[in-house]
Amino acid sequence: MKPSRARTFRLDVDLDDSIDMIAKKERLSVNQVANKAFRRYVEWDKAPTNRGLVSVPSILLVKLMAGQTEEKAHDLGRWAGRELFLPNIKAGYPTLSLERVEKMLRMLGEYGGRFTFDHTIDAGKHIITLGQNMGRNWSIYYAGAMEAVFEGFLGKQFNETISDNICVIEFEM
Amino acid sequence: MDVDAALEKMAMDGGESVNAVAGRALRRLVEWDRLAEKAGLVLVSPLTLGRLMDSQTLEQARALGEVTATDVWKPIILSHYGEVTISSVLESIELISRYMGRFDFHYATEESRRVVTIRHSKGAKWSAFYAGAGKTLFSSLGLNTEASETEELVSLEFEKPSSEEKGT
Repeated sequence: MKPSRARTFRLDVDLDDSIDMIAKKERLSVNQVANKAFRRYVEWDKAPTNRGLVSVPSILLVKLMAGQTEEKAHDLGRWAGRELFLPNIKAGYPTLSLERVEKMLRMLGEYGGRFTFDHTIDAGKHIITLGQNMGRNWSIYYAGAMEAVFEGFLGKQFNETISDNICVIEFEM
Repeated sequence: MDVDAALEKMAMDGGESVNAVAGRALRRLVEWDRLAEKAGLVLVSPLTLGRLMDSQTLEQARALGEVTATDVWKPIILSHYGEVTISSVLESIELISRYMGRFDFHYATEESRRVVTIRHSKGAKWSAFYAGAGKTLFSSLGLNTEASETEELVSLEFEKPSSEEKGT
């Protein structure tokens, strides 16, 4: 169990009532609801690596990407990996490493809502899996982004497998 | 991450109390995170989004706005507020403006005219998108809505809804 500390907060009545209601609906304690909100706020919403991202309905991204060719989706992913993903990691962690790429991908997966992230290591082989449900072109986009990150900056040669819902990257360390 | 220490540091950096930071985090959860989850909102870089929108025609952008209003916002407003009315639609647009970070929102009333302005500064295609979404939402309330678009903003104009006269 993580070490914890007790704190007392004074809240507006409407806010306090709303938190009570959420806790009841989700069958959690008020403490659990509050902790979840605080963790998200300090770990993600205010993180320098996350500045400037915007929320959109996933259906909009599905429709916007569905009209692209596979080549365009791939190029857009490469561009995003090079121009957006890597500089954002550097904003939080000036030295680039596999661990930091992994941490960023894990947080993007957890809080960004666009993909799930998994990383396994088997006999020196790393397998990174991005699962998503926004169509094949998004898998191709992520493959392009991973190419920019792993080949372009970490210098890793890797194999990729793309399906409608998954982009898998395999490489040796 | 030590959440308590991070809250304290954030409070110290911002010259405010831990209570104020915690209150903001909790208000965000209550006002926005649950709505965002229901609406299936995801995070994306505005530059990636801009490149994707650039590849659409004006009419495709407008149609995307209409689809988003019909398939996402109307059902979510209904689910969140229990009814789709002028006030729940306006409140949702205000929340979207505050938390989605895509546009500024203004609602002006003068005599019998009502004007909703969405200022985004992202070009004609986003204006077409917001015009499509806004017209779809307000027209579904029975309001005869006229949209005017520039590269910077969209104005949606309609007559005072009868619900205002009834005081609802």
